[in-house]
Amino acid sequence: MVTLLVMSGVLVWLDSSGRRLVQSGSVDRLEGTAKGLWHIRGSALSLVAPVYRIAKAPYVFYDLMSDISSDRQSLLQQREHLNTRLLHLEESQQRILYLQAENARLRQLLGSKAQLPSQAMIAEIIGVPPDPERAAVIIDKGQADGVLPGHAVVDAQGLFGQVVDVSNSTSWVILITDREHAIPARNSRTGVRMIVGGIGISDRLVLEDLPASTDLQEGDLIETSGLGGRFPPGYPVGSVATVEATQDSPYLQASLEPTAALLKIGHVLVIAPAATDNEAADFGETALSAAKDAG
Amino acid sequence: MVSNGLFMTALIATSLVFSVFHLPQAAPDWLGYCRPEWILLTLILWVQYIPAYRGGLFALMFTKNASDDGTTARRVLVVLWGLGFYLDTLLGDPFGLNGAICASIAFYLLRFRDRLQMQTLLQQMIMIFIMIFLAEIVRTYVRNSVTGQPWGLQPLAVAGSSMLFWPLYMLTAERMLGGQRRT
Repeated sequence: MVTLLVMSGVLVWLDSSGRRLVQSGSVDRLEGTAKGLWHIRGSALSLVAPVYRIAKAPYVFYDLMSDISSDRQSLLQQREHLNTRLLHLEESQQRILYLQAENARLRQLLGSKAQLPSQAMIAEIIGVPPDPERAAVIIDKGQADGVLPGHAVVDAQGLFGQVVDVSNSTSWVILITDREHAIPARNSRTGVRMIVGGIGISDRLVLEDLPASTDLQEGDLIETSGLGGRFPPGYPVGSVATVEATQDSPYLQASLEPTAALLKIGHVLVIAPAATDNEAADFGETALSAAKDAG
Repeated sequence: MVSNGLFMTALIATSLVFSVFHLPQAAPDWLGYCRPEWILLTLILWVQYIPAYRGGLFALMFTKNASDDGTTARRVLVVLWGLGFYLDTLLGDPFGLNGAICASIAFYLLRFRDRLQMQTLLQQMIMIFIMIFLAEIVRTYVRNSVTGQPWGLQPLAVAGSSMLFWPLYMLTAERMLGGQRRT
């Protein structure tokens, strides 16, 4: 029994130190037993996925029943609404493709390093760890789909989290509200750089160490800055909910309300880090031809 | 009457699902802190009734046609410690944590098994509360050290809800097995 407890203690210590490295984006620095444990966890994630799928089944069944019991009128209204939305999105898409192509060409002319996100991949949330103190989800895409630790995850409204553990077919994603999570960000109105941190509360983020003289207003949109290369720039993180300056502290006390729907169980997008220069140039050419095709 | 091995296997699978089942969005936040420790309750039930569950998946743990010189207990502890790796992945805990918790509880239950047989339901509930409270203290301590998770009333809430669920859980299990008593 004592042997088992000692082995447990050593494993906890090794695994914890390894996971700290992974979460700080230093997977390459993992070595020895910690690296082995990280690989074992990746493999074991595939084995726990069925349990999470079964636990989610009642909700899937409920959604299915809701769909089946929807009357014709509401389905027609829903289709009408989606068609209208699709038209708006297609129009926006055309403008975005043109602007992306122009942006890539201008960056080439300036010799500036292009920063374009590579392919995004749709993933489904298949489970939520039970501990209310931890903000994480499990998605149904893994290494076989090209997902790697450090990839950013977004939903339709904004930044959602990042991948920390990967198995062959599933991944563990910590949300931006997790205590251990921090994001390099900027104010979209003023461009001021800042760090947004999680505090373990599902509808709250904080701005860390922001000088009291910073121009910040309630309602300002905070977006990813792209610094560090982990999160692509320009994704909404949250809007400023409270700003408080006290005479006792040289820092602002500010909080954000996340824009992403962090509590909903649905689909998200996994985004790889920024593309290289060549890939970005290719992406620019592709985007330009697509924009021309689209008229 | 259900087959012992099949019943216990189904109970373990159900407890795994219940332990990760997430509450509806409309549920109040505090309810998430009161989730009973389904896995530990199942473990306690199984270890207490262990001689009745030798079949199926559990056959490998028992020595056949030999006097039990402690080999069974050692095998049980090692198997539970190994099972802890699965729980660590399921719950996102550091490797080794759940193995240590499961093996410690099983060790205590096996060591004092004869004494525990004589306990009343109330005494069992108190024992469940203490064991799960201590297990949650260890779990929170490790999570606090590793991820900075703050101390709160969760260990108390989890132990309390587990204690309250125990009579229902145990009596239902007994009924499913046709009133079979511990041996």
